[in-house]
Amino acid sequence: MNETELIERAQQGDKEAYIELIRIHQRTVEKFAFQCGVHSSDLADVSQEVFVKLYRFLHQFKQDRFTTWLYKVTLNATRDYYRKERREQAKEELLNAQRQVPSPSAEKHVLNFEEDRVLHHSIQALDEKYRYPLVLYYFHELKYEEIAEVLGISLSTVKVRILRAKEKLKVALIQEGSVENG
Amino acid sequence: MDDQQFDKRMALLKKSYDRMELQLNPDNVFKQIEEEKTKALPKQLITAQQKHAVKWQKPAVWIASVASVLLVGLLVSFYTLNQQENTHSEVTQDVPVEKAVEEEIADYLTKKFNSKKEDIRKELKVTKDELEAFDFIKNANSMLDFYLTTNLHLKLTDENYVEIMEENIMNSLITPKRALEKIKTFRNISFEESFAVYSNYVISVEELERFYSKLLEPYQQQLKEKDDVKQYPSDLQAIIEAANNQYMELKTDGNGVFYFKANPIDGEFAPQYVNQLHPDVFGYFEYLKMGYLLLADDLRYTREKTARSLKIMERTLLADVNASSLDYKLLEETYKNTWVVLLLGTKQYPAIAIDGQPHQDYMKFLEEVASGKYGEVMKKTAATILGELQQTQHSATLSQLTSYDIWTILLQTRQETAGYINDSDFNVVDMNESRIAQVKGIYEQYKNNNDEAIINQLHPINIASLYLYAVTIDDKAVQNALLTPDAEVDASMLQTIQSLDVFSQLGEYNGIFPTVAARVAIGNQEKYGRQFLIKFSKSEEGNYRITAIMD
Repeated sequence: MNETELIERAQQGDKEAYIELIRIHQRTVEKFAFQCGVHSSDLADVSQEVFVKLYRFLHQFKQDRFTTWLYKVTLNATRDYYRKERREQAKEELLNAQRQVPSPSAEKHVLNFEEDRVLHHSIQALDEKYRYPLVLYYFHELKYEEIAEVLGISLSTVKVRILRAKEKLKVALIQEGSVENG
Repeated sequence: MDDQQFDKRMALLKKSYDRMELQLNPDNVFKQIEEEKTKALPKQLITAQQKHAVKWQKPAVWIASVASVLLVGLLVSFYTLNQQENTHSEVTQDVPVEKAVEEEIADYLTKKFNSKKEDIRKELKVTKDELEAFDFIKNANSMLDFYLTTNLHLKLTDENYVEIMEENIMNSLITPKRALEKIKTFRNISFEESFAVYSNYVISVEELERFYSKLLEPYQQQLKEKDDVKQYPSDLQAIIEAANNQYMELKTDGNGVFYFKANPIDGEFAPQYVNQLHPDVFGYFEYLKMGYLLLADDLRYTREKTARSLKIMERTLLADVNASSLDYKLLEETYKNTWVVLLLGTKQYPAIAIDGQPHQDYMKFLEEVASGKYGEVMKKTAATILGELQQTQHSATLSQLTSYDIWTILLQTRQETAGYINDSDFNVVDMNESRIAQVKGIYEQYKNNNDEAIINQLHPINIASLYLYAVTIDDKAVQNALLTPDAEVDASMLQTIQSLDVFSQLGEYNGIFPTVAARVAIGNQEKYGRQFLIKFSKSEEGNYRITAIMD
């Protein structure tokens, strides 16, 4: 059964079809959420929220590009996650304006190599307007047009932001001293 | 580091990401969905009951009284009969009276429920299996089960509870037609009552639209070939009749496929009494009727039709105080996203013509929006864009326009944030003594060190606090340090404030352009208004500065 058929069946209330859809897409959702900055320990919760939300609105889904929609919903879920995180922080320390970066040690079991962890955290430190296009381009292999649609920005903005993201990331990596002879 | 090295690092990281262990158990998704359904059902109905206590009570008080008398009568009869029987039966003597009453009520409710369900089956012209497959019927069944199995024995002593329970269970069995027919029981229907009618209407309408549309599949060819309903096979006529009965019209989509869409407000089968609904609620019906206003890359309807639709939705968005409801959020999303697209232009309706000049049709459209033809909210923005385009052929307002801006304009037009202030999008702090002391601390630190790094690390809510404090002590230097060079401060009353006590709360919205709403304490609202909105931008270095202040 192809994806369109699965969506149709899920829209008609077929639980198994929806579970199959989840299985097909959960890796994409979890990866994207993690790359957007969700802690590894919260990935199950956030992706569960994504699929519950998708289910609630599945009957309204009429467009062809399910994956694009999935990315948008995931992005919103990670933003909600950020807001909750920020509120928690605000409760603890009202005036602390420092941005909290997930502890590298917490991600050790997800990324086995130190080099990967350094790069991952350098990406996390990028402003989100650079981070999201970069992640979608390099790790999800989306085309510029698709990235533009997911993020609701123009094609040229996508290109410029990926370029800037690369520049910023290179600088950050050199500063981290993680690149030999760099 | 060259591009090749960079790409290689990224490719290696991608491989590591691809090896991530999956965390989610798909079954848990359904567990949550089921749990939410279970929790939502009784709560929803109890809430509905509370609302409808206002809503249905007026005409229904005597009905409820009669019903409760009948129910009590029935129970009394049952007690009597049961006791009479018990004198002759040792087996039933062992059954506790409470348990027997519980079973009798359960039996009475189940019969009544099934009888109404059968009426609905006939009304919808469906088979028993088809009826039981509907989600709204499944929910009603769950409601009955929930009350009978979970709560009945606990609440049997509470007469009101039994009465409410009966009404809730019966109200859960609803069709679009039955939902709207409730309008007839009102006089001078309020917005809340109208919204309750809408809430009941929406329970089943979309599912029934899909159901009847699906039934058309085998008849698509015949529908295309013949216009006269009388020439259709009797089965098809019966389907159309059943759908029409629920205010659904036969329509064709862009591919010529026939489907049903309900339009109870101004459609072919709209009942006369629908005009009694409060007009502020029509935006919700409009949303249901129109569905998506945007396609993947253009408008679904014409620009004028879309804008007319948004005008109807706007009235609801401005009037409904319950801005945190899902219905409101969906309407709000549709409204702001569609307006952005309308103003930025689409392929079919471009803002800029091929020659690089503003498109004539677009300019005419802007004039109409600015004149108020399509509502109040977008008037000023359209006028600004129009003016800029007429003067310089370029509009800075347009090039920076986002859906968030439209949300802010809507918010301003509503002239209140009370409905939003506890919304999850807001981070709210009270302006109390401790908060004021902290703000003064930041101010002193900044003044003593004169170090911009101190303000560079502040979040919008802290910058807003610091700015407001600088206003109260008339420190223009600090105020200017917190503003962008081209900031627009359009709040004359703000400059007259001499104490932070004037404010009760600050709410920070973390959108693309963060905004802080500084709420004025109730005692000071007459003088200063309800709030000031402070809008921020973020520099390339990640520092926040105020770009606009509005009262």
